[in-house]
Amino acid sequence: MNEHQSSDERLDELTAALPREVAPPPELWTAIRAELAERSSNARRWDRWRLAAAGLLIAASSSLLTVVALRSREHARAVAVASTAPASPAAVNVEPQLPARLASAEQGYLRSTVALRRKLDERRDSLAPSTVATVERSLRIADSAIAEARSALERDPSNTVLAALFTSNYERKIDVLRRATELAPRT
Amino acid sequence: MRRRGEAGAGVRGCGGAGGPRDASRWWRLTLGAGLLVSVSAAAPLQAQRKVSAGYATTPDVSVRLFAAVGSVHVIGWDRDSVELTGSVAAGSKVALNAPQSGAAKGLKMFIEAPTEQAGREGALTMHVPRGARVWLKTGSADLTATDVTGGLDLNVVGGSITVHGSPRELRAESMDGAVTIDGAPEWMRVKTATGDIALRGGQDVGVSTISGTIDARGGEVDHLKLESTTGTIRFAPGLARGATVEMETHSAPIEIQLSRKASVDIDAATVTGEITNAWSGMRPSVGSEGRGMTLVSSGAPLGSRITVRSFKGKISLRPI
Repeated sequence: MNEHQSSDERLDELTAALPREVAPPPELWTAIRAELAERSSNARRWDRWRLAAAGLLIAASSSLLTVVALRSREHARAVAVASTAPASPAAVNVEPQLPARLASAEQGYLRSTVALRRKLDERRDSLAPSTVATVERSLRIADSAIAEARSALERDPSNTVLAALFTSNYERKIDVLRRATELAPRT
Repeated sequence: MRRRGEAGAGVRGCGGAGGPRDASRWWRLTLGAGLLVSVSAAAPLQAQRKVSAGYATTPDVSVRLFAAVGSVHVIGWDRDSVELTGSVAAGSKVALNAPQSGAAKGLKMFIEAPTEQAGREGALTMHVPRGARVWLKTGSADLTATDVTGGLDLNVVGGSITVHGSPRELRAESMDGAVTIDGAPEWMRVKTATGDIALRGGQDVGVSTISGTIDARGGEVDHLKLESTTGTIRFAPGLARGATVEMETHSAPIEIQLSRKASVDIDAATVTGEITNAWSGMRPSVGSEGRGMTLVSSGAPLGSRITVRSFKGKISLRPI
């Protein structure tokens, strides 16, 4: 070793000579394992109780929600049936709804319709009354066709012909609305 | 015969057509500065009755005209120039392009009437190069386009649209005016709300209406789609080899007439309506719940196909 070696270099040398790992004494591992085993056992016991309680709670909540939902649906159905008498037995037993894909498409169509309607209403005064009458008449026809196709689809949601007709009716309606909003003033 | 490159030919007061290409270039430069625009240059003018303007243009010039007048006739001619003549209601605002040096590639012209009633008066004739692309929008004018082979984009509200000839592209939209296409455009889209539509043939054709009737007869079709909500659809044109035809309605009758010899597959379905077939011996079948009908045939050697859909409109097939 060089006597001119600096203290930092000496420290580095000693540090490098230290072992990279030092295993704990065997008796220490035994004590640790015993302690861990005891804690784990207690925890498992508590977990079982907690899981059981949570399961009971979920089951009870679910049952309660189901009862509430069924009662409110029955009530709504009863109101609907009462307000649309005479209703066919099928109307009571079948839950009317569109297939998810069409329901989603309809939401898009409705958003477009609302936006275009607003735009048309804003410039309605600048259009000729005869033009407004033509547009409104066409929209009523389109709405009637949409309602009819929708109602049929609710009864027969897997009918692909109906689905295509339903969306076409919406597209024609939106097209009339779009063109009406693009008309020049006084036309 | 078309004489392209003869700019200025046909512009009134500038001499007749004729002369070699060099002379035409000279005319363009000269006329560019001194083009006749008797009504207006760039700024709108008031209380004009007569309209007369001419421009040297390229053969495929794009022309945009908004005109609140009683009628507009667009005529394709064999000259590289645009000429607008006619009369409009007194008090109309007339804004035309300023004279340009050289052949114009694009023109915009605007005529606005002071009142709705005034917008139904007057008549304009616009000559354009046959290959021009014309965008024309009016209110209640009757539009007629003749011999334009370029593009037409025509839009009216209450007036009618009539096209003679076969433009490469045609878009015609009307609210309650009738649309008549007497030609076979390569690409065509026609839309009305309540206006009736008549056409004969075309390569790529789409027609849509809410309550107008659609009458397709004569000529030959390649790809065709006809759709209505409550308007009757009548189909009787010839079919190109491999043609595809779609017809769709909510509640109107669809009447199809085909040659007995037509080689075509049929796929017809109605949700609650009826199908009758007097064209072939095939009988339509009734839906599983006793409602609606279908008629499907396949195996036509030339591969043409007609698809028909209706909610409750009656579908009928019969021979021509």
